[in-house]
Amino acid sequence: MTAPGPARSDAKDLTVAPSASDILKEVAEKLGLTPVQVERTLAEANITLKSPTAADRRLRIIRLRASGTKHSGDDFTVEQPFTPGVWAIVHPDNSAGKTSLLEFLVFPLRGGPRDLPPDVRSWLRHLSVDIAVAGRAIRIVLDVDDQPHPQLRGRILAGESTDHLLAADDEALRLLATASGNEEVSRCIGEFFLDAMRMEHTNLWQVTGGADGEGAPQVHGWASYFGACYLNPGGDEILLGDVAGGLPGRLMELFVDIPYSTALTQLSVAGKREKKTITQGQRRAEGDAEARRTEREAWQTEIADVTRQIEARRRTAAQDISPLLRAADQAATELRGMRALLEEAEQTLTEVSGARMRAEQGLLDARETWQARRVLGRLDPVCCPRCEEPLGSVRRSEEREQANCAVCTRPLPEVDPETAEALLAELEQTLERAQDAEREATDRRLRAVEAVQSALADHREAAAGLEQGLATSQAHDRLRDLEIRAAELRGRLEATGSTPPAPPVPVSAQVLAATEEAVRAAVDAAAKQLFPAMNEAIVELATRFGVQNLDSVKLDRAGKVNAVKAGVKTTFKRLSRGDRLRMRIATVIALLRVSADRGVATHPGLLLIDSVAAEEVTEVPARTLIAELQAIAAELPELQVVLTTAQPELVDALPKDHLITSDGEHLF
Amino acid sequence: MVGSAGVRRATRWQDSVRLLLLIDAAAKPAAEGESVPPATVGVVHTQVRLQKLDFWVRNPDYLAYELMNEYVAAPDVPRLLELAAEILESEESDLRRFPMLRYKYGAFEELDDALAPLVERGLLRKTQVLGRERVVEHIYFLLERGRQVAQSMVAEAPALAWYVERTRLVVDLVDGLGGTQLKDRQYLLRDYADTPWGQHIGPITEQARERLRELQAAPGPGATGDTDQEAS
Repeated sequence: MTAPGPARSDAKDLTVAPSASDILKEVAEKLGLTPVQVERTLAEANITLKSPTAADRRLRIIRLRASGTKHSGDDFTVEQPFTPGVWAIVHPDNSAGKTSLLEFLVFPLRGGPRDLPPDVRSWLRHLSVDIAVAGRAIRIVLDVDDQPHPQLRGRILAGESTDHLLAADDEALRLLATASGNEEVSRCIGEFFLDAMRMEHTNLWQVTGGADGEGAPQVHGWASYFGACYLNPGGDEILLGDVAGGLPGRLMELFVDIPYSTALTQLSVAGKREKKTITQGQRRAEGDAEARRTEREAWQTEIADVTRQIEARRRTAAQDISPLLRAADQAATELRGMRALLEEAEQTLTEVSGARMRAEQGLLDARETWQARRVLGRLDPVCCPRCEEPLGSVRRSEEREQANCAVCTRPLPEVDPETAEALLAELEQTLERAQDAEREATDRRLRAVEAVQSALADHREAAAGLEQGLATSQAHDRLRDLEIRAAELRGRLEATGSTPPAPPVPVSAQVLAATEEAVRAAVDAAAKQLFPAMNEAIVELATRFGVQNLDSVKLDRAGKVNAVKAGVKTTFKRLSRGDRLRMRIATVIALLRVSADRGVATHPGLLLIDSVAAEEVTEVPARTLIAELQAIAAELPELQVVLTTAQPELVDALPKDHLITSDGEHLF
Repeated sequence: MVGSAGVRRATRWQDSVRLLLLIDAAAKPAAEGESVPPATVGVVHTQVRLQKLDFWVRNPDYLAYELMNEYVAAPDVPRLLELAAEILESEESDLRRFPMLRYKYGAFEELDDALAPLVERGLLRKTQVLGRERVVEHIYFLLERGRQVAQSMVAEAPALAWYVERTRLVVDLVDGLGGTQLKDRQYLLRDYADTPWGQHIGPITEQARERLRELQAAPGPGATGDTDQEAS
């Protein structure tokens, strides 16, 4: 495709931009891929990198035809031819139909009306606009069928040439597309213009969009772009178009045709989508890592505790219990021995005590017997103990003289006191010996008792020591359990020791990022040359249109003009309503002029302005604006302006045939 | 002297003196119109009574036990417990014990040999009341000479003074009770009653000492122990 625009420039800037293959090669080298791989990856993201070529985006109205039936029942018909230059729809009455007439142009061009009053819309039966778009002769026809209920039907027709278009009936033209219903008609017209002008839907990233509120692209179609042609009313706070945000800047880039600007926007949106995916993935990974970290902390705490317990138990478990066992056995043996000795001593004591008692008894018996015998023996028998008869004197004398018993006549035993005393002394000695033996046995028993008590105490001590030793040895089992647990924990900590690496940035994201970087560099380089020229043109044009004391503007890619008025930075919103309109017009015309200067595709060159100068308090600035527009139109043969005004005096400098007016109450 | 079977037996002389002193302590004046030998100063009826009195003299542990029975029945006479304690806290029960045989009517030992020297020397006379087939009752008469000897015993034979004291204590304890009743009293002790006929009655020293400790530890007299229904 060739750039059909006027070759007023040497097209130097176009050659400055790198070709698509240059950019692919650059990205491939950076990532260690082949250009084909990069291209394929971009294609997967629905991005095609094309070397910049100037597109023909001229749009010019040739003829408008409209017809219908008013509420009153009166039919109306409009047929208005257009040529390049400034056209004014003029009528002093507010309800004469100026805006409606302008909207008759807007409806088929935009795909839908913007400010068409609903009652006027209901009157419409037929709209037909002949246009030249990108050098092609096109007719857009909108019909409203009444039956069975109002239904919009659209057709797009192509003619051989402008003349052919003007001469031919609809049937003589080539039918390009048809559509029914408001939405389908709107989509059909939008697709046609985008295709004809080689433009694409613009996706702008909306930060809070998407079902998850984490951002999503928003699609803007032809209707949005058309805002660059159909200027917003003066009171509006947006520079161009009817969508705030990045769209005004995007519209400018589009119509200035900065190379790769579409690709950059696509790359940016795709990159943000990738980033969102990666961020969500990272967040999941971070969540996992956090959960594992908490777990590891618990393990660390436990292993420290277990280690302390192990150390404490190792210290106490070092003791060997076999000496304790031996000591306890020995003490038990000793105790048994001592008890046997005690038993023996008690046995001995019992025996000795018995012997002593018998000695006592023996002495007692001997002493009593002796004394009894002495008392009773002194008494002479007086009778026979058997018969109790008295003894005769013969027996008594025999006893005295011959020591024969007076009772039984046997010799009387000697009753010798000395013998008795000797016998008693012997018994006393026997008793003394027995008493000595008993004392000795008592002492021995006492010593045995003490020995048993001592042995018993030793045995108890040894048994207690052994019990403690055994309790400690049970700790061996617990120690082993603890060591196993510690090993288990160490294993877990080692296995989870290194925090998992962040998931690798996918190649697609790398390609997108690198390509975006490369493309942005190209765009920046182009914009760097473009914007200063734009700024200069805007200041010059705005001043010509009547903006007072404008020192400078600094247009940026977000669509902000960053004006400085009388040395003070002034935002677009703070400008007066009239100045805002002037700035809009100046911006559009600057786009046209700079583009034309550079020989690149440009703004369609159609400017629709409703109620121009309505905000102006005095007549002079409004006249200035229109006069300057007319002057510029002479400079730029592609420019076609259609404006409406209720002040005929403002446009009296325009050629009469460029005034669309009526002497009647209504324009149609 | 200790016999061949290991059972201690008193000598004839010990038996004679002990019985003389016991009869002297137990003898009562002859009843009016009772036929007694000349020079009689006192009479002791029934051999059973004499045998039972002798049992308590020869077994101080049983005597101590009986004293405690009396103490439980008459808690206002603490002297009874004191006497029991004096016996049991000394070696008296072993030193003075001369075991007796368990016989049909209780403790028994043939008395004739021991009494013969007393009769021969004119200290005692004895007689028996005859029934149709056997002796119904033995009666012992203490003669004047016998009482003189008994009364001079402490001075003449100090080694025998213990019998003088003990026979009086035993007679005092059972004064006024008949021999059969005495026997019943002795039967109250299980060890005695369980002893087979013809065997020696064993000691109850440890049993008596245990009871003594209980009575001494008791908060008030009469708190524990058997009560003697006949003595009450």
